[in-house]
Amino acid sequence: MKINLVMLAAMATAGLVGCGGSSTPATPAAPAAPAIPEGTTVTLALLETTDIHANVMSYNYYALAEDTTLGLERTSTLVQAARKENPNNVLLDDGDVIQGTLLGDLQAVTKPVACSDTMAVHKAMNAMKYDGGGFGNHEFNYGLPLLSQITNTDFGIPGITKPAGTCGSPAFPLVLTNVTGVSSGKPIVQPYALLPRTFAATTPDGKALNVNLNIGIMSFVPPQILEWDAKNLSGKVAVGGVQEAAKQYVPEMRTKGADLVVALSHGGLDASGYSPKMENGSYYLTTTGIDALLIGHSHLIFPKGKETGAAALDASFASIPASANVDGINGFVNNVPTVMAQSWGRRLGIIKMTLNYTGGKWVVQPTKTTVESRGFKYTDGTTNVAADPAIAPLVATEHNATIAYAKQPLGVTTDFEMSAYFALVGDVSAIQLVNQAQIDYVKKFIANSTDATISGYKSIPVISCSAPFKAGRNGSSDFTDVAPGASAAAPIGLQVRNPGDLYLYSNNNLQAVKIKGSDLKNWLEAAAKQFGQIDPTKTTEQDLVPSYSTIYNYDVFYAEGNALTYQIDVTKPAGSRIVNLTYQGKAVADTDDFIVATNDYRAGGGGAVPGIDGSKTIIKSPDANQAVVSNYLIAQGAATGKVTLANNGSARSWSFVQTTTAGPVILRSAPGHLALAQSSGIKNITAESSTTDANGFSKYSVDLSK
Amino acid sequence: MERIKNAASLTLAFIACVAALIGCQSPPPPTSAEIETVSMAAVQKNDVKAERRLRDWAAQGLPVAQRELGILYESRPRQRDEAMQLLEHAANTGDTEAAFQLAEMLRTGAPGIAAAPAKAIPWYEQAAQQKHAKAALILGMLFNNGEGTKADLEQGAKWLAMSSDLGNPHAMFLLSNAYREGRGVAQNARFARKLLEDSAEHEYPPAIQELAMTVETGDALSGKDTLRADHLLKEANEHRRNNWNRF
Repeated sequence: MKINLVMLAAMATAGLVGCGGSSTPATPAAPAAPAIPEGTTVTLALLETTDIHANVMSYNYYALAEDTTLGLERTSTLVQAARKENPNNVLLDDGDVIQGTLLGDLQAVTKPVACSDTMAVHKAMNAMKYDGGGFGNHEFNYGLPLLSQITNTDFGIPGITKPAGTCGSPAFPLVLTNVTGVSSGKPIVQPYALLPRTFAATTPDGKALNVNLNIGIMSFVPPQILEWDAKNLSGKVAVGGVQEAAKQYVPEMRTKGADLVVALSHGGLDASGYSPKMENGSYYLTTTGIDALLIGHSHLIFPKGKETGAAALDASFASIPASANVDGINGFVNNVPTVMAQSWGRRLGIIKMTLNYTGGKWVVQPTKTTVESRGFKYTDGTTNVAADPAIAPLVATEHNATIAYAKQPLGVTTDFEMSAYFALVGDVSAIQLVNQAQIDYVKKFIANSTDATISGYKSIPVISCSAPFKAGRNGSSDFTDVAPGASAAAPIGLQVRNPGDLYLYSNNNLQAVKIKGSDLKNWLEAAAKQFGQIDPTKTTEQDLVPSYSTIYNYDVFYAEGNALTYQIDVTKPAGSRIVNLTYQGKAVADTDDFIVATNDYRAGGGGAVPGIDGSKTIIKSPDANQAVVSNYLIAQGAATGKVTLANNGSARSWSFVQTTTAGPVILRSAPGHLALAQSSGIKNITAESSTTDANGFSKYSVDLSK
Repeated sequence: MERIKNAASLTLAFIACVAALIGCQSPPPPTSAEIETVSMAAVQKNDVKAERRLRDWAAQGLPVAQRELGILYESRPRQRDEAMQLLEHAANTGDTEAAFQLAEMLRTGAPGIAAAPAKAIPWYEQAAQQKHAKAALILGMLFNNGEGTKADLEQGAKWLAMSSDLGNPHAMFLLSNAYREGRGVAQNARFARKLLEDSAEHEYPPAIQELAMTVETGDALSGKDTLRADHLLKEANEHRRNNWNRF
């Protein structure tokens, strides 16, 4: 005993001398040493949330609808229950907290939260009384200055200054173990913290005893943050391998009195060989002397849920070779208890451990450790937990502001209605602006690029494609219709939400591909597959578009000045329908070069367009197509105050090859828009059925000879 | 006891240091992780000392160091030739990543240097045979598109299958398309769906979107599930900021 204490003191001194540095965490006051009888046990629970992604309320801001399957307001209920079951507990978060919903974007980008205020998600976490937290890769999405402010942390990075005074931030310690400042060489956040806690223990003779324990926490992010957020981080921070960082600090934590060492690892489980560059290195933390592993990043459930009807263990865990010793049922990785609480507050990780006081220290009793990733329906597999009523009032202002934001003016008017009702017969009123915005973006990207390869593309024509995303897929009311009734005499102001109507999918990033004229023809042929093959001799009714289920694959191409035009012959079989494809009045040759502005879905192989498989992508932009459209509209507003039918909605780049049919050809669309077709000059729409079909669509007569 | 052991090991360490200094015993070669850690310092911090260490190790013929230094030089147009030599050395010693990186340099070319996909193919093949998933993916695309070789959809699908089995989500998605359309393989809608699910699970953005679109309306293989569609799109949204240059 005596020798041990002396050794400990000597090691502690050495540790202190060895590390120094301003970001070395303060040693907590050494727990007063009560006389703990040998064999005393303490049972405690480590509670984990991960990948909250700014989901405070049970609400989906993209769908603008309540979603009771997620949100911290319900996780809080899980936490309360777990605390009741486990009076000795610490609540920890594994990162990816601040980004992921419109609420997060609004508070970080659109109207950044002031130093004097606290982010909504942090308000909720403070109310839930978290004990500590780590970082995730998404924490870096909004840049270091904001992160420094909202964590109230001076990173010690030149040029990144935290506002003076104390900024609103988590009221619990944050740690980050494998990120250092390039110029300082020191951790940008304290690499670990020891949380001194007094827990109720039981002596061998069954008496209650309060004991002091130090829970040590550390946190790890994937080195890939330097690629994903290069703009924010490159040259400023360095990220080390998780194992190297853990090996550096675990002994120091022990020396300073950590009774338990908990790793918050924002990475999944990858058991293929270790490299400090790997993204999901959590597996390799299990051999660094830690006691528990709280993981995240891959949004999965580990171990398998214990509730009735729980989903099977994710295939990525199930496929890890047995030799790696991963127990996905009981929650152990290499014998270290491990939990992952999915994402969005949908689960609470619970590692319950019993420690036995043996030989002057607390020793984990592996056989008494249990691990659970507990979901909202944990009680019986069907009943969803209720929301903690304390959370919503804390963030009501921010929540309502997020919903209201969508209806604010964008600062630009339109003199035309932008709709997709007749997009499949040539109307481009809801598509042309998207194409114009994408072309504008790509041309500027190339013009401003410092990359020699990209700037070498300046002489290649930039064209664009986009589709009528919202055109009947989800029923007869599911059509884009922005600014209904707008006209030159009565222009309508656009709202913040309208770019999202024109470009439906906010998950898409803008990309550009470099292709040949032959690829362009194949691409147009793939798009033209949306049409049924029309038999001109048939006297019975024929559907021009038999199904809207993949209408997002109907790419409409456009070049500035409507310089690219083509025709579609719907009487021909799919694959040989495109004719008269011209650019600047000349037939497009197979060997011509084009750069096409599109999205990551199409560029990466979506829709199976031949040759468009990711191999021709020359620009991968971090910007969303939706934001590109929004910014373009705002710029038009700033320049002229308006967008117009003449400039932005009437350049019909394609038409049908004229054909006289013996019988009726119809287009199914939302009822009641014949007048719009006529006023917009869509000549091939000639009549509307007096009744709707079984799904509520009107049948519009299409005259293919016009 | 403990103390004595410590003292003993200290003495041993001291002897080892002295021995290393006078050169009678060379230090053990660095592990791959150690070399990569130094390489990360060279790249992330522009650390000249780290780069020098990497150079020394590369000169000693350590393939991991040659590969890492080659990758560092890749980003510097004036050191392109040196980069290719280093990567070729390392690849010839069996380093998988080096073979892949060399293939990439050959396939893409550089301003003023023509792309040479045909020359890249053998290096991709070497890397793929050594289980490099992305090398197999690119081979799949080269064969599908007839780049550097004659177009051969069957061969393309074979490489995509290998890449997919090695866990590459982009390959899973392209192979899913191939099975759905029957390109280079016999059409199999059910297997195509399985691959689509796998690819989405592994975060390939086009797969997440396609799966969301599919379950939003439901089809012959799975019912309509709008909550799942919402969650997939929400996930895609959230990960947009990290997936933009990931695949």
